[in-house]
Amino acid sequence: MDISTIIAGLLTLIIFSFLYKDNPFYKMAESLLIGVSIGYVLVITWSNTLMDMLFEPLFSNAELSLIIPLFLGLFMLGRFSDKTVALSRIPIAVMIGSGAGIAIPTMLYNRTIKQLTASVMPIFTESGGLNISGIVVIVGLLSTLAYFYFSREHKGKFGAFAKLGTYFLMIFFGTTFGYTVMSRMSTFIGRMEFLLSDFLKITQ
Amino acid sequence: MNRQIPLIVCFSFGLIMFLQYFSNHTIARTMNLAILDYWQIIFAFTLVLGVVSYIKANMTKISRGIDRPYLIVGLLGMISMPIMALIWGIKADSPFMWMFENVQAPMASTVFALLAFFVASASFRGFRARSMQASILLGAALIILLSRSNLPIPYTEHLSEFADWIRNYPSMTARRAILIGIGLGSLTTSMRVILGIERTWLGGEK
Amino acid sequence: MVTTYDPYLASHQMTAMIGGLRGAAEYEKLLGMKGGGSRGMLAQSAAHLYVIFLIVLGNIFYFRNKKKGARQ
Repeated sequence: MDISTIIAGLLTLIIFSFLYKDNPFYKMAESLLIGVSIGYVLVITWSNTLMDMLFEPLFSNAELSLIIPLFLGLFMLGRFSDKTVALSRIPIAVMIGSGAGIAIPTMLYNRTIKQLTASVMPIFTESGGLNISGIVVIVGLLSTLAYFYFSREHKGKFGAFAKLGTYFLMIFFGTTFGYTVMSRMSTFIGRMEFLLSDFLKITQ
Repeated sequence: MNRQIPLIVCFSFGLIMFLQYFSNHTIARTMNLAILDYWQIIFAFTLVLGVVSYIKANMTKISRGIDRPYLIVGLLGMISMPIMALIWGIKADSPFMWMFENVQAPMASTVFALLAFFVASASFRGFRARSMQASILLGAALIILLSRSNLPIPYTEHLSEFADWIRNYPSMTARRAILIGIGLGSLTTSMRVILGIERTWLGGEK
Repeated sequence: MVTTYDPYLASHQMTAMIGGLRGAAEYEKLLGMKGGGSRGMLAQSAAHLYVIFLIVLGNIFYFRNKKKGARQ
């Protein structure tokens, strides 16, 4: 067995040791995970963003327009001192402002208009029968939206309709829970497979 | 003035990005791509800011003697990655990638796998049919779980079809309502931000 | 989570989605190969059964205690 598998296996076991109780080994591994993760993201961001998108084109290809994001980025570091903290608001303003500008049309189109359009389904089938699924979609959508509508008190008929919305929400939460169990178990199975076959070589 | 300039910048960039959506002109497309690149670059600098803050906070804790060994391990882990990347690069068989594949990835997925146990204990303790809503939640979860197992029980196919129907219609429509709500909410918040009505992002007075 | 993206699938903003280990197993079957997905399905089914068992057991205890409480 190679050293890589031994280290990966031991670290896996140390993380699992938390199931017994919190212990110094687990704490150590947890700190190492945080540190290594930050280091990894830092290096990848440095190489993929700062080098590839900023420094190389700016200094090798002389793309002078990149001075703007360079200064905006440097202004961000102004947060370290109380005297320069005002500078950091400029790059934040660029990010927040442009983000909001992009969000208006895209959110309206992709999340609202597209979704509303998809909800308009035929209520009757070709043979003239009721299309139950179509009715469920329309009633479910309207009642759930009614539940999130807070400008009117949830009382009387409106309240009952909003309550129907909570039933649909519960179905959504239930299915999501089912899939959450599935994904967590999948990861656990993956780790156990690694431990049993690669690390301990009990199974093939 | 400290607050006026950021507000003007925010308004200008918001307006530019909003208007460019309606134009196919080369200048508009180029500007759109350039500003998206600016985003990533500024984000990279904020990451540097975060890392420096992390180091500073840890150094203070270490000097006070709180959890010293653990914090040192964390810092060493963090510093070792850029050093390895500087010396040996970040190619597929480099020590940097070795650390990622044999230290970071197994631990991260094991932490995620730990949640399987918490999900199991939550199912036992909290998943009770206390009310109509709770019973519906429970029923939906049970149907999905049963249908997503390969069990030799009768009517498996019908169960699977029913579970798919639940996912594709009643569950999907509730999620769709949430999405529409998020869409409309983001829309109004974005407009408030651009117009300078929403100013919480500016932080406190300084 | 797959359920989060279901509306995009229904509105055809997304073409297809493979969900979880079962999705992986189904995809492997479609490709005619045996891999990690199919191998893990037995364990996955057992884990699901275990969670179902825990939910049912929890509810049995809950209703028994409720009955006891009502009697006293």
